[in-house]
Amino acid sequence: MTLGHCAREDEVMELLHSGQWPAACDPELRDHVAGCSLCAQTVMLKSAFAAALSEAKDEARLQSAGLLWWRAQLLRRNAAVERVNRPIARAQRFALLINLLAAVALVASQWSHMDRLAAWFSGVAEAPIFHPVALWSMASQQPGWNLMLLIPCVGAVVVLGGITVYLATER
Amino acid sequence: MIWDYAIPRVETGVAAQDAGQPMDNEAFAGFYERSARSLWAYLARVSGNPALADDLMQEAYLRFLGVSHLADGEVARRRYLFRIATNLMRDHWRRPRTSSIDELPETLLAAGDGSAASDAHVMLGPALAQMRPRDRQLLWLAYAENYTHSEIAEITGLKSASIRLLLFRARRKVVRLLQNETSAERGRA
Repeated sequence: MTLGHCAREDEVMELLHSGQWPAACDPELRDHVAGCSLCAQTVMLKSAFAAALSEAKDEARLQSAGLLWWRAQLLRRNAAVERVNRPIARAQRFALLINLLAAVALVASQWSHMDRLAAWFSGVAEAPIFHPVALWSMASQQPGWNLMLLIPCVGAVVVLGGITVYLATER
Repeated sequence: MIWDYAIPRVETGVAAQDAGQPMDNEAFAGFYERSARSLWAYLARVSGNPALADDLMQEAYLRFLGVSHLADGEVARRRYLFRIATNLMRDHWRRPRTSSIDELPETLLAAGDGSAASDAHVMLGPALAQMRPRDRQLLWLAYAENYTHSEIAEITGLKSASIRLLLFRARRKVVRLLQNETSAERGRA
C-alpha cells in the first residue's frame, strides 16, 4: 500500500507548529499548498486540532499541584513502609511455624502421659474459679476472699484478653 | 520513628533534578503548570469523558511522581507522562464494565460550543466522535501535540513502523468525515 505523502508536508507542519503559517510563510510554499491536496489537508487538520486543543485547555479543571505532590509523597512513604514490613511479616510467619512444630513435638513426646493430663484438665475444669456462681458464693462466704479485689481482677483479665485479641488480629 | 531510616527522603533542589531523581515540590508545580492542561485535553478528547479525564490525569501524575528515576529533560518527562496516561486509558477501556475500546460511548465526544472557531474545528468534534478511540489518540498526538511517529510509538506502545500506516488511515478517515460534514452543512444551508 502506498501512503500519500508530499515532500513539503514536513515543512508545512513545521511552519504551522511554530505559528508562522500563513503570515511568515514563503509565497511559493503558499502557492504549493493551494495546489497540493495533501498539504491543504495538513493545514486544515493542524489548524482544527490546534483550535480544539486550545478550547480543551480552557475547559480543564486542574487540582492543586501541591496537593498532588503531597499525596504522591504519602503513597511513596506507605509503599516504603510496606516494603520494610514485608520481611518482618515473613519472620513472624516463620516463628509461628517453628512454635507450632515445637508444640507438635512436645505433644508427641508426652503422648504416653496424655491420660494423666486429661484427668488433670477435667479436675481443673470443675474448680469453682471457672463457675461464676460458685465463685461468687465462695467469695462472699469465705472470710479470706475479698470481693473488692476479685471484681477488678476479673475485669482486668477481660480487658487484657480483649487487648491481646485486638493486637493479635491487628494487621 | 523506628522506620525513618528506611523511608526514602524526598530529594530537594536542582541536584535531585539533574540526577533524574523524583521532583521536589516547586519543580513539580512548574512542570504541572506547563503540562496539565495539555494532558487533560488529550485525555478528555480521546476518552470523550471529562470526568474520566479528571480521574486519569490525577492518577497519571501520582504514578509519575512515584517513579524513582525520571528521564532527564522536560520533553522526555512530558512524553513519559503521556505514556502513563495512555496506559491508564487503555486499562480503563479493558476493564469489564466498559467492555472494550471500540464500545466507548462516542456521543460524548460531540463538540460543545465552537462559535468562534473555524468550520473544520467546529466539525472536528462530531468527526472524531465517529472514529475509533485509537484513531483519535493517534490523530491527537500527531496534530494537537505535534509528536513524531517514533514519539507516538513510545507513548502508545505500538510499533514505530505501524504508526505511519495507522495514522495515514486515521487521517484519511477524519478528512472524509470532515468533508461529509461540510457537504451536509452546505446542503442544510
